[in-house]
Amino acid sequence: MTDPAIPGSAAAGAAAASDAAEARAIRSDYKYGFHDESKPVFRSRRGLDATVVEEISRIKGEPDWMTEFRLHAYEVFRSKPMPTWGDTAMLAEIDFENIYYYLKPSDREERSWDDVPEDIKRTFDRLGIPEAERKFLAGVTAQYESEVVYHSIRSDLEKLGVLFFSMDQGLREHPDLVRKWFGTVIPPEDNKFAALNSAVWSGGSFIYVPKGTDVKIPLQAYFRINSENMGQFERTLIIADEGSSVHYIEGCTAPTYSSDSLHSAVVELVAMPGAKLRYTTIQNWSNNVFNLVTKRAVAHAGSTVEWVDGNLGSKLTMKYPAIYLAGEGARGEVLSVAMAGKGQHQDAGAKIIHSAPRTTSTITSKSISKNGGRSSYRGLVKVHRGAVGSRVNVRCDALLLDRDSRSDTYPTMEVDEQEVAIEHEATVSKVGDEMLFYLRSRGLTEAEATLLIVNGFIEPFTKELPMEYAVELNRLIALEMEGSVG
Amino acid sequence: MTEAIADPLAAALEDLLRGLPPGAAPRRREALDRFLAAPLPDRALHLWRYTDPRRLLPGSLAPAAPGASPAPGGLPACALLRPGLLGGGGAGTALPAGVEVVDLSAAASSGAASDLLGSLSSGAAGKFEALNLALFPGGAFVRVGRGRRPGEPISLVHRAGGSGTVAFPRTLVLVEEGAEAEIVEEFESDPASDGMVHAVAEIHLGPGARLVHTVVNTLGDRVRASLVQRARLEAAASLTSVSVSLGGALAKTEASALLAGPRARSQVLGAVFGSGRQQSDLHVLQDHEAPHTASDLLVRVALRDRARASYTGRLRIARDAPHCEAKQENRNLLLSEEARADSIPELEILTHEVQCSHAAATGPVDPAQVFYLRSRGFDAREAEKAIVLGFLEPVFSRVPGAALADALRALAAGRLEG
Repeated sequence: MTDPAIPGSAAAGAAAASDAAEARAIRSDYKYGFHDESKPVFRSRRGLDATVVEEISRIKGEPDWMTEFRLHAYEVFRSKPMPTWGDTAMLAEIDFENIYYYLKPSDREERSWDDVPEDIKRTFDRLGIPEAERKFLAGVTAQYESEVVYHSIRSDLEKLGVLFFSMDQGLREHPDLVRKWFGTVIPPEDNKFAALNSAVWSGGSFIYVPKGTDVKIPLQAYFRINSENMGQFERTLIIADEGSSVHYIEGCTAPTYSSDSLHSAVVELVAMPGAKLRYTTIQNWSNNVFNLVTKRAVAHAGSTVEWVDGNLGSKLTMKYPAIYLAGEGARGEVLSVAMAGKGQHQDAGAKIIHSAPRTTSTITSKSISKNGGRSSYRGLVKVHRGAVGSRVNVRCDALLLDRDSRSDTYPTMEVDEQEVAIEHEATVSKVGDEMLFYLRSRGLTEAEATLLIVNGFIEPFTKELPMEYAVELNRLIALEMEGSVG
Repeated sequence: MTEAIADPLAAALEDLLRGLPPGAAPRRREALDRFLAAPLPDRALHLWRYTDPRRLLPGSLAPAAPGASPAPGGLPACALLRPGLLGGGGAGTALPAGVEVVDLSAAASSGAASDLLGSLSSGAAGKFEALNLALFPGGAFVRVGRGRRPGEPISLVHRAGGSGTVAFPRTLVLVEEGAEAEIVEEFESDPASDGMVHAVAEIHLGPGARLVHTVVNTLGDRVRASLVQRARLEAAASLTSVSVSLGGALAKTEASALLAGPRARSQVLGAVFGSGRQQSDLHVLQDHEAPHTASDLLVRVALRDRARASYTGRLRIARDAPHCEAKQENRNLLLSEEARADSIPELEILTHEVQCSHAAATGPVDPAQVFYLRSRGFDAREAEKAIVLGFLEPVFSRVPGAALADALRALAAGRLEG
């Protein structure tokens, strides 16, 4: 549907060429709103054409097939129109010509923290990455601009045969494996932003978990955009081979600049028969990042794929993690939380395609809108003929904290098969007066009471996170909630 | 494509204008221009996701010849055809005092009908509504005077043109302050007709007015139809829209209610049954513009054979409309492997003092129910009929008035036997 109520936005907000002073203008309300002077080894010019695409591929020393893949994708990107649905007013603000599509901050990937250049390390220090690593994390791949500069993987994972690389390194070291799967779940033709990513991708994670291998601790990556007007186009491919299990976690932040950045990732997941694959992401991009990503999984027979998806930051997020239930008995779950504050539109949701018998799926979406923010749930559940005995359960709950905020629910259900059970429920409400009254009568301030209610509202999501992420999420929500009541 | 049909439509309009008051020409010519200039609806919009709008272009179909000129007393052709579903209306029926039912194209040259015509469906909302505004031949203007309560239903029967024609029925309803009325509009055709229908109803409810508006579609199985109803409710007005859709190769029904005054209430009750290769596409918009307004919706769809149906609904609560309640529920029953049901129940909520919910579900017939009925001696067809009628019953049982509910039940039962 068209959205007549979208506040009219200025025409393509062409952030003019940045002067250095403006570039350092940092808003104070964003926790990660610092940035360091970085000295890229190579930076492509602003804007995009086939030469830039070729140059990226050449600098990376890629095989010919990848160069061809990129150039083809660039043509697809050029030929596809911008989406005519969703928040078209905000989308119109993107100025593709004012973006750096590739920056390479350092010459080589570092395996040891000590080798990471000082200015980059400073950024990570402020993000708490080394601390996180000391806290016994399985592996850390931190993406700084476009290349993975720091990467470690515990030796016991290596012994299991688990591959956990940056996408670029994966391509160098396992070209056949990458070529077999790359772009098979999300081809460049899928949509305009997937095509853009396919043309200029850089970094991201490549993970392969061998048959029957159970990776007991989560694999983690941390992404960060540092330069202004920087597009970030990471590309992640995770293959969980038969009977294996793995949990991958990424978090995203970006420093605040005075003009907008574009993040457009492609994430492809493949769960082979009997595998269990969970992907957890919490994005906390600063409020001038366009976060337009394509995330899709294929779940083969008897496998399980779970997307756990948190959206707190960004200006506009359009993200609908998808699961194709392609084999009998496959199971998919999408659990998402969105919080939209002033000037933000969280347009998030889920897509589940049932293409095989006895497949089951669950979508649980919780959204919170405050200070004039807008959250939209946009989802698709499709059951193809022949997917007999499939079951779908969709639940969307929205909480509106004030009169200026907005919540939309756009669920699509397409059912071509008779022998199925499809259920969908949604509610939109405000914080209950009775709950507030009760908590305040117990001595809580209104702000404390509201925070408690919000935390309770998203608890089904929080309880699925590893502890340190749950703590961080609660802290972020407390920060976001400051000043939103009373 | 638009180019190709421009000339016959323009010629039909000039023919039509010869029988109308001269004042009618500018509005109708302007509407035709808008139809011709407007692009086809964007299929990326959910409203058109399941129906190719090209199927509703008249193409080589000719506008149906205007019926006989208004009968003495100005009764419109559609009120003359025959007694309607409830036995009311029809030629010679005396209208209760305070109720006017007149030919719309004649009435539209002055007064309230002129002011209201096209005000809810100006054509800006839709290409096909502009086409109707240009070419509707007679139409009905129903006016229920302030505080009047006729008690008898007002029945309008729209008989679609025969094969090779496109019909443009149009109804304008004004229920004035404090008045109460019941209107039944039936859309029917020759069972073998391959014609087309583009119908528009505009409904205005004054403060405290109440209306039960029922639309029954029993068009032939080859007819393509677009049935649009747009209502505007002032303070404390109440509208119950009942839609029973049984006919048509394609029936695209769009019902919208603008809750413009505080405490207005809109209820939609929809029952759809499809068989063969029928396609039903129902869209409902409940637009809460004023505070303390309420809407409720129940749509039940049963599909057999290769029939398909889509329900797209939108609840919108404006920023300045706190204390609203809105509910929508859509349930689909699939009776065959090849039936298909799509559902998009949308919510757009722009303020926080609200209670909103929606639910949707799709599933097959419960085999235990079939087994039970078969064990009691029902054959397969009888069992299916009993199950479908039982499935639709929650809609019928909420229809106001036992006579209307019974008539709708009988209609559905007849269709299930056919």
